[in-house]
Amino acid sequence: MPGEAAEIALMTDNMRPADSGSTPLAQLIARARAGEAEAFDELVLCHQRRVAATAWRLLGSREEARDAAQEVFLRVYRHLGKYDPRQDFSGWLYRITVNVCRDLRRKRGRPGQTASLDAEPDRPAPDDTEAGAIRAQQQAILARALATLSEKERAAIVLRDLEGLPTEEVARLLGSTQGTVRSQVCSARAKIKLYRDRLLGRAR
Amino acid sequence: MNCTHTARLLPLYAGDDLDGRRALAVKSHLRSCPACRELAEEYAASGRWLCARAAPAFDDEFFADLRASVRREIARGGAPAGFWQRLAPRRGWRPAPALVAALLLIVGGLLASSRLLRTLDPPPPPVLAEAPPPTAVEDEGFGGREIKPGRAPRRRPRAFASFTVALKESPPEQEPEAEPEMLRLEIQTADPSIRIIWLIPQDKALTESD
Repeated sequence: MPGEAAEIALMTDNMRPADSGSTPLAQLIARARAGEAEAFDELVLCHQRRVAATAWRLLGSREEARDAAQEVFLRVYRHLGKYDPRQDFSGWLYRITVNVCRDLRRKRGRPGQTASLDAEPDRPAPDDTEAGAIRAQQQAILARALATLSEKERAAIVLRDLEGLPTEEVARLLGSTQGTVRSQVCSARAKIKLYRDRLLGRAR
Repeated sequence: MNCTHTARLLPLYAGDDLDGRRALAVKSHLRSCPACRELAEEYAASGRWLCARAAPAFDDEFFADLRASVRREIARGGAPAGFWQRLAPRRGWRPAPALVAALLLIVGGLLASSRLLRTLDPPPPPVLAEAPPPTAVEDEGFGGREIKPGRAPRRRPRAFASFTVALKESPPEQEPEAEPEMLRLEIQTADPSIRIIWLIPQDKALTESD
């Protein structure tokens, strides 16, 4: 699909810091900052998957992830004029996403916890095949595994292990230190392993 | 390095989050300890298990709906943050009524100040004198001070520019409600229609010295 190809190309551009404006992403951002609606639409198209996936991993709910993704792009739209082209757009987007998810959790009265273990799993994806059902089940298991973590542990492990960001970047996004992030990641991985052991019936 | 210490470091070792020295120490211990080696493999498998389930199943309809709602909210909120929006980042702030209110305040202030300048006189000290008419403030001296005709009114500090104080004895025939022994203190404000009148027992009144 053309949109996905454009997304991949621009995601590749995201791997290196924004330069003076010669990359396609930098040009797209410049056009969006100038007020071109089509340019902003394309910016959303290129980053929607990553933003929605990160939000879902942080919040554990499809509906909340959608609300969070919407708010992320609205904040991008409102504050695009303040974005410094010299900084990495992906990092800026991640920071907004983390802040939006945190605000959403607090607004919905769950400041330190993620989804309840007793919460109903997300409704299955429209794909009603066996593969779709398995995927929905796996996602429910993941949501429950991440629900055993505190908000900070979850943010740390999502950004470090699932988004693949280096510890230094995670610390910067979370406004923390590398030592604290390592400690949170260590604790989170231990809890995830414990959850998996219990799920598989392995008691140690 | 013993097994207890190694077990504590294994979550970080599994994700390559240990510094070189400690990573080497753990690796060396794992070579000689099957139990810790098995634990390390379990941590690695747990990480792979997590990553394998981390891809959300969002279809094209989900993203189309997301983009449409973003466009809708942007259209509802108007154009990108312009000058006024940047001045007032609070949601719900409407620039037009505030602009009108600001302009009215500015115009009203200009009119008031121009009127004030026209009626402004040098501040006479309190005198025992007739109360000035509501529409004008007479030049009354105090303690022999004279106001030359044609002299442009002296600008005073804004807070006190509009006040003249006239201390006078209330003529019984004009102010039947005042007691003969009461001293009448009148303060004319910048607004010609507002005058403050104090009635003070004469034996307690403060009088200006010459």
